[in-house]
Amino acid sequence: MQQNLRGLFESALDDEPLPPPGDPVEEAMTRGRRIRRRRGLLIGGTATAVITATTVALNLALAPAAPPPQVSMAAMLMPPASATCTWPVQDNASKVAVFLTDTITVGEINTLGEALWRDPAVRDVQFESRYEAYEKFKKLWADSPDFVASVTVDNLPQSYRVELAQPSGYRDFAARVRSRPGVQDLVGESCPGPSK
Amino acid sequence: MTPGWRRERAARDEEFAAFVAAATPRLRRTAYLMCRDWHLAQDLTQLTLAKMYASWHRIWRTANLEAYSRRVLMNAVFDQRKRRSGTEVVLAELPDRPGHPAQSAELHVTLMQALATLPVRDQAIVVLRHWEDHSVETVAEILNVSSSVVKMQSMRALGRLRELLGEDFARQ
Repeated sequence: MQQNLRGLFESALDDEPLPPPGDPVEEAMTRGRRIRRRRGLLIGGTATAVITATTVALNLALAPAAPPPQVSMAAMLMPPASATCTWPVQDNASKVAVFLTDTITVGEINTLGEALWRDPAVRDVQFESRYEAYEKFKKLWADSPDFVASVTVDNLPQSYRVELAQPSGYRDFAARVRSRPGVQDLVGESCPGPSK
Repeated sequence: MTPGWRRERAARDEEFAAFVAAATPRLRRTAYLMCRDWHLAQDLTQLTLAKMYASWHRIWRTANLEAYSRRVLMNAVFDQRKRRSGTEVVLAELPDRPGHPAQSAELHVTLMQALATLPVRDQAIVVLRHWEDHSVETVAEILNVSSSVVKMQSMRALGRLRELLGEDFARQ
């Protein structure tokens, strides 16, 4: 039975036309890049929506603190930039927040955590749950009760808080981690303190 | 730092080109057996390759690209089917194809029509298992179901095909 099924499938394929003209590789790459960009937008979208809605609600009171859209989620969970620490930085970050997507699975969280621990650039890794994020968020935004009231635990992302051994290793580290499954965004923080 | 990164990207793209060359013919045929339309099969194949390229930086060094590509393809087939069934009544019988009248005595035409009457996931199981020759485990992985589901559905699907194709099929 199996044998003649195969034969029949092969006859069914007899009228196969020639592939259409054009370079399938180039075509797939162009379209693939478009898909990748769209995925990025979709992922960023939810976070941006929350921040846009709340910023509008609070009228321009928060405007100075409103970060560029690509780090909007981070804005809710990162301490305000200060004399000692700034974010987001593209280079020389000593601490990194690795925000996870909403759809990440427990398995992916574990795999990612292990990969982070194994990464040669990493000194320390802490997981931050939505609840921990929410507690932190409430403290950070304590002076904006309306904003706090408009956000629930579920709006906040889980994250890994990573400490790097060498700030100079951040760029390579980010490149390695950014593309891993379940990673939504990376925010590098630079705190060039006395221990620099 | 940058040259290394560039080199890696070039290597990655080269691997992708090689993958496309190696995988496309089979992907297209598998797609055809699932949708019985060469144009659509071509589209689904290109979509599969594009989706794979979108994740290529993540997957290119993984071992089972072959199985992964089947998974992407089958998901594209399922999606397409779902979208189509929203606008169309699902047909129990395959519509006539130009050049291949439904009453054709050729057994492979009958097989394709019989296949079309199965639930789409069962079609995928039959094609992956009996045309692509993937193991039960690989089929299970591709379709994200358990091995026992593959075994059971495969048996049921073959029984149904035998029923629809009649004596001719059993004798061949």
